[in-house]
Order: sequence, then C-alpha cells, then structure tokens
Amino acid sequence: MKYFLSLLLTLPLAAEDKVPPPGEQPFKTNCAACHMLASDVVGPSLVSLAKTYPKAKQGEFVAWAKAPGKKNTNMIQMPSMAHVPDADLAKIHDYLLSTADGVKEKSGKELYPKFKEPKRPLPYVVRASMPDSSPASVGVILENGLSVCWDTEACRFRYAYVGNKTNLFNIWKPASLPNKPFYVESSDVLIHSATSDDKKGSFFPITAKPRFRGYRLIDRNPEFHYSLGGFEIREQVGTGGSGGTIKRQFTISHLDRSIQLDLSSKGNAIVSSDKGTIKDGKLSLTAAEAKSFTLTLTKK
Amino acid sequence: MNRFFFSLIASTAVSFGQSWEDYYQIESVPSPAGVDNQIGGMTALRDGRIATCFNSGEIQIFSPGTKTWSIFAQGLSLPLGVVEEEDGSLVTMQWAELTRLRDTDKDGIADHYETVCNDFGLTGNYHEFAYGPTRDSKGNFYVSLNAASNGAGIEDRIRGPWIDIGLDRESHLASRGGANWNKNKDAAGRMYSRVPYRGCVLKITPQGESSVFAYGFRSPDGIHMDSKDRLWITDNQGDWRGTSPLYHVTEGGFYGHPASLVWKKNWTRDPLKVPVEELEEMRTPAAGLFPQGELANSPTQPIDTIDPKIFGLPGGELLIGDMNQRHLIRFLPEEVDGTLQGTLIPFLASPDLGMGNHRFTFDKNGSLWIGKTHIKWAGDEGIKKITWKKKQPLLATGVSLLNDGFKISFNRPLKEAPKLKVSRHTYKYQKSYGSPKVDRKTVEVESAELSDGGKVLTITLPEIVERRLYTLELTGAADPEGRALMDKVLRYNVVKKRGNQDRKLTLPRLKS
Repeated sequence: MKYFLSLLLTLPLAAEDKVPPPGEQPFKTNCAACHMLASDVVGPSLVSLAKTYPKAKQGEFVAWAKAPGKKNTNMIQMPSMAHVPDADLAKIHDYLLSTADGVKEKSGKELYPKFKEPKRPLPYVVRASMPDSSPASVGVILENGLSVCWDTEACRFRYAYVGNKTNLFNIWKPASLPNKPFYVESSDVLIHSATSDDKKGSFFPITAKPRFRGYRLIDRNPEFHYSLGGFEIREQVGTGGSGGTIKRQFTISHLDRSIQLDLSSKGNAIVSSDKGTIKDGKLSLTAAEAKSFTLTLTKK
Repeated sequence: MNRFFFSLIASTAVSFGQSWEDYYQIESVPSPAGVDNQIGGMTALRDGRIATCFNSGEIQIFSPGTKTWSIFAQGLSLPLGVVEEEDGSLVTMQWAELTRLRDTDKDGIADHYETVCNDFGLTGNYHEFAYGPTRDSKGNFYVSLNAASNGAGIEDRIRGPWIDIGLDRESHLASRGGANWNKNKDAAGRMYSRVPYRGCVLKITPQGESSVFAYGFRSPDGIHMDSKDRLWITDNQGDWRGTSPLYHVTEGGFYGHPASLVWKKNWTRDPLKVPVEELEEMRTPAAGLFPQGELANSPTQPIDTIDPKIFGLPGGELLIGDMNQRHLIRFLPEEVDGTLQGTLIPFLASPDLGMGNHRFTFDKNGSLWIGKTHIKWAGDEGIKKITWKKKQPLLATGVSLLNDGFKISFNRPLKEAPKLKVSRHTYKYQKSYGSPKVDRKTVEVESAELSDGGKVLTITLPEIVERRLYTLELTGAADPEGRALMDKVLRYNVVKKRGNQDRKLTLPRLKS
C-alpha cells in the first residue's frame, strides 16, 4: 500500500490551520516569556508598551529592541533583540498594538494576587541573603520582638536588630530589615584557641574555614551546628528570660584547651556570660567551661 | 467567520473534533492557606502522600485520604526540588544548599535541617537558582546550578571564592542597577559564572561529598535521573542557546554554555574569548530541541512515563513541562550508535491545563500531579491533577530513524497514510541571545507507506542530514473510526545518522 503525496493534497484544511497574524509567531518566540498582555511581569505589559510606542513610533520601538537600555528601575533590563530582523520587530510591534487595542491594564499591575506573608508562629527560622552578611544567612525572628542574623558561611552570629518581619527571603535582593542592627559583632575571628600546652593568656585566632552542618529546631529555636578546626560547636539562639535579651547557648565538643571569644561589637548592647570572664570584650573560658556556656545579650 | 466554519465542517468530515479532555481529566487541587502558591518541587511519598515545595519556603504534605495539608518544613529559601530517602527523610535543594530534612521525634514535622552540601558559590545575583535534587540508583544526588545573569551585578559579600578570569569583581559590584553596570555588563557575559560551580551539575554522595559532574549550563531548571540511571536536563533559550535543549548528560561532558568552563581543572582562558569553532568541537549536542515559542520557551522538569495501562502513554518516554506553553511535551528517546536522541511531541494541549507547568509527580493511582510557578516570568500558580479516562487516544508511540527516512509507529492502525510535510532546520550556536531558525529546508518526501496493518508509517526521504531538527507534520492522520491523531507534529533531532561509523561528527559550520 503506497500513497503518493500529490494524491493527498486534496485533503481539506483542518480548522486549526487558519493563518495567525504575522507578528504572532515572532512575538511568541522572542517576547512572550517576559511580556504579558495586561500585566507587568518581567517586562512591561503589551498595554503599557502600546502606550509608549504608538504606531507612529514603530521606528523607535525597533531601535530600542535592538539596543535596549534600562528604562524601568524595578525591572530587569531586556536582552538585545538584534538577532531578530527589523521586519519581524515591526511585525511584533503591529501585533502588540492590535492585541493590546482596547485592553485595560490590570489594576495593581499584578497578574497574581501578591503573596501576603502569614502571621508565623515565633520563633521562626528562615534562610535568606541578609545585608552585611553572606548570601547564605539565616534570620531568627524571636518572640520578644528581636531578630538575629546568623551567617552559615562564617558560621557565626552577625548581628541583632529590633523587628519581627518574617519574609526575609527575596530572589532579587538581600532582605530589607525593618531596623538597623543594635548589636553587630565586629571581630574578624570569633573563636581564638590557646596553644596545645594551654599556656595561660596566649591565644591565636582559629582561621580554619568552618563547616556548616545545619541546625536543629528545639522548641522552634535553632541550634546551629558547625565544625571548626577539629571542634564541633553548637549554638542555640533564643530569647533570654526578660524582654530585650537574646540567649546564646554554646556547647563545644572535642575541646582540650582554653579558648577565647572575641566579642568586640558595635552598637548598643551588653553581653554577659554564665561562665568564664569577660575582659576588654574578650571572653576567656577553660576547656571545661567551654563545653557548655551561655551568652546573654541585652539591648540597652 | 463563514470560512472558518466551513473548514471546520470539512475537517470533521475526515476526523471527529477531539480534545485531550476526552481522554484526560484535568482537575485543580486546592493549595494550603498561607503559602505563595508557586511550586518548586513535588514528589509522591511511599505512603501515597504528596510532598510539595512552595516558593514561600514551606514543604507541605498533602494526604489524599483526608485531603488535608500539613507543614513538614518551613523557612527554606526557594526549594526547587524534593526527593524522599529510604528512612523517610526529605532532601531538598534550596538557594544556598542541599538540605536533608529529618523528623527525628516522629511528630510529622522536620526538626533537623541537616546541610548535605553547600560546596558552591553565591554572589547575591538574582539568577542563581539551584535545582534538584534527582537521585541515581545508588542514592547519589544530582543538582544543577544556574549561571548569574548580567541583568544585575553582584553583592559585596559573596560565598566564593571569586575567580579572576574575566571582568574584574569591582566592576560587577560597583553598579548594581547603575550606569556603570550598563557599561560593563556585556563584558561580564550575558550569563556569567564567577563563583563555583555556577552553570555546572554537581554529583553529591549521600554523605555530602560533591564533585562537578558536567559543565556548560545556563538555566537548567529540569533535572531528572530516569529509571535506567540516565541523567536528563532541560535548559532555557538565551545566550549560547539558539533554542531550548534537552540533554542526556554524562560525566565530564560540556553542554554548550561556556561560562562554567572556568571550573574545569587547569582552565585559564576567558570562555568568552574561546573561538566558537573550538566550543563547537567540545560541546555535546542536545538529544532534543524545543523550537522557541512553538514547543517551549522555558522547559521544566522531565519525568518518566509510567505503566501505559495506568496513564495511557507508552512507558520509556519522558514527559516535560514548559513555562509558556499550554501543553506538556513527550520525549521518545532512541539510541543510535550509542547516542541518545529522539522526538518531541506536544501532549495534553488544553486551556484547562494552562501554562507554568513546572514540577511533576505520579501518585499511587497513576494520576499526574503538576505544580506551577512563574516567579515573575510567564507561568501560573497552583496545582493540577491529570487522570487518564482509560480511553486510548490515537498516538504516535515510536519514531525511529532509518538510513533514508523515519519509521513512525502508532498504537492503532491509521486508515490511510496522512498528508505529510517534512522540513529540517537548525540554530546558530552563538553568544548572542537565541537564534533564528537557520538552514531551513523543505524536504521532499519520496514515499510514505503504511505497513503492519496500518500501525507503521515508513517515510522515505532523499537523505538524512546530521545535526538537523526534522519536523514531521502528519495532517489528517486518523484511525478507521475517524478519531484523529492527537498531536500531528513530531520533531526528531538527528544528532547521528545510522551506520555512520566515522565518529568525528561532521558539524555544519554556521557563521554567527
């Protein structure tokens, strides 16, 4: 059974074979990922583009598409469409004018209802890029109205601020915080170690790269885990007994010598420890004390 | 209008007007309250529940019995995939790390967020999405890392180290959104990789030891290990991507986007300055190509098809989604002399399906769950569930390359050989964004012959050209009862011809 094509050409056209407007396919190919009809998404809507580029400005439209600049500060800059022939860009322009004709911009310019952060039970732990910390940070929002930035890259508490904002993760930029921090740890290296013979008063910074191992949630409070130069360190962050305080419970295992924490800081808070002694912003702990100790941070 | 009406009547005279809804039920599944209803990961758990990652950072689990959701984990940064381990732990890829979520006190909520791997860089650029994981049969994880976009610069603090090949770091910083950046951005590259291992695929052991598995990706949203331990990855049209590709990814391979070459051992050159011809020699061609704006704009996750008796599609295929198109796409793989290539065919085109089809899982009853997203691009929100109505649509079930044509198999006999239109084309491999179709040729069909009682259509062409995408349009194909072939356009990507033993591929050179 052999059919030759010429015989088959007489088959009727299917309904879906109707010819689309000339600009539709180049629009779908080059523009549709970022430009919707009546809502701004990555780029402006067709309705808004039709306003910027009426028929008389087709030349400007084509020129812009080939060498775009940054027009909308809240949008990503468009890649150049120089690979699309001018004739197709003109067809795209015609297509967007005819498609947008008579259509109204959606109010609020949002295609989908903007996600509204629900009221989250506190404390709440959220991964985010945070200002003045690494892009791999953790926000800890406590129930007493204070929040903490903990950096998984440096494996340390970076700063504390007033506020209970929980929607910190943002693809486009680091979290915007409700307030400037009232306490910022400013030492280059937090943990300093004594020499192996534990010679009194002699400490050197542990500059080995820490390895972040994650966190446990204990009654919703995070206990951060990391390894540092052969030690395993846990730091649990939560509220202190009274308002305006933050408690940091440390446990350090495999420790065989004294350590010192450089608690140099900027801002307006007092730090105290239940073990060891703080002198000139440095907390000194014997190996036994360092196995488990608690720092209390009180906002002035 | 009259003309449209006439042609409609004329076409129903040959075949019944059919829609995918005749064969598949498309339902919406309500999402839980209080989440950003965009979905980055979905997996059916062994106990039948459906774990779902929402863009607001939760993994919630749906119980089909009670139709209720419960929070398993929260506070994650854009989890873009999730798998279940043997002990019930879930492993998810967040923006900054691969995380194992363990419920150690068995209260149904994860209490241990264990870092499995964070051995890769972050610059703060908005485009550094991280996808996966998918798992091989040995329990290893595979994740894919987006390159950064020159739509923006980088933050002051990064997770590095920064590599000093290319535009200096200061220039990336200075100008986030400012005038300097506009001046510098071209020198950065449209998509750039300056911290480890953006644009790469990582292999990570269950214990967390990672290694670079493959190079050359741009925006590899879809990552899937099939049941034969073959890794499939989709990527998005853009710079160095004339159109969106589907890759079969093997260890050490380079898949075309040069930015990530800097992470190859002993690599010292600026990838933007390597001649295209050299990159062309290095790159592995795509197994499938999705013509931009027709089949896909931004393809998403591939998933294995399941038992044909449960979902109505042949086994051994992949189903793939897309952000812009209101259809899914089937991939029918074929191995030719050791190379995997194959055919892409639209599936389930329906306004009810909608766009933004991002993540997929088959539940215990064989329904396909679809999680949608858009971020701020084209797409949609929410969950759809697709259930086969146990009525068999007329489908192409296999497309095989011959020395001089194609052999197409169907699940039912065709009444007669359809009207055929065959063309071939390719795309430029170039630095600039996208590519027009190039070297477009209408291919003369020498003969089209039905055999095996009408279930096999053999198409004879004058020749087969390697590295060309063949578009086979089968107009008017229908079974003897007049039920139409559901999708009439088959796109076979010929990477290799059969029997071409000269394995130095003769690549058509195209000036960019």
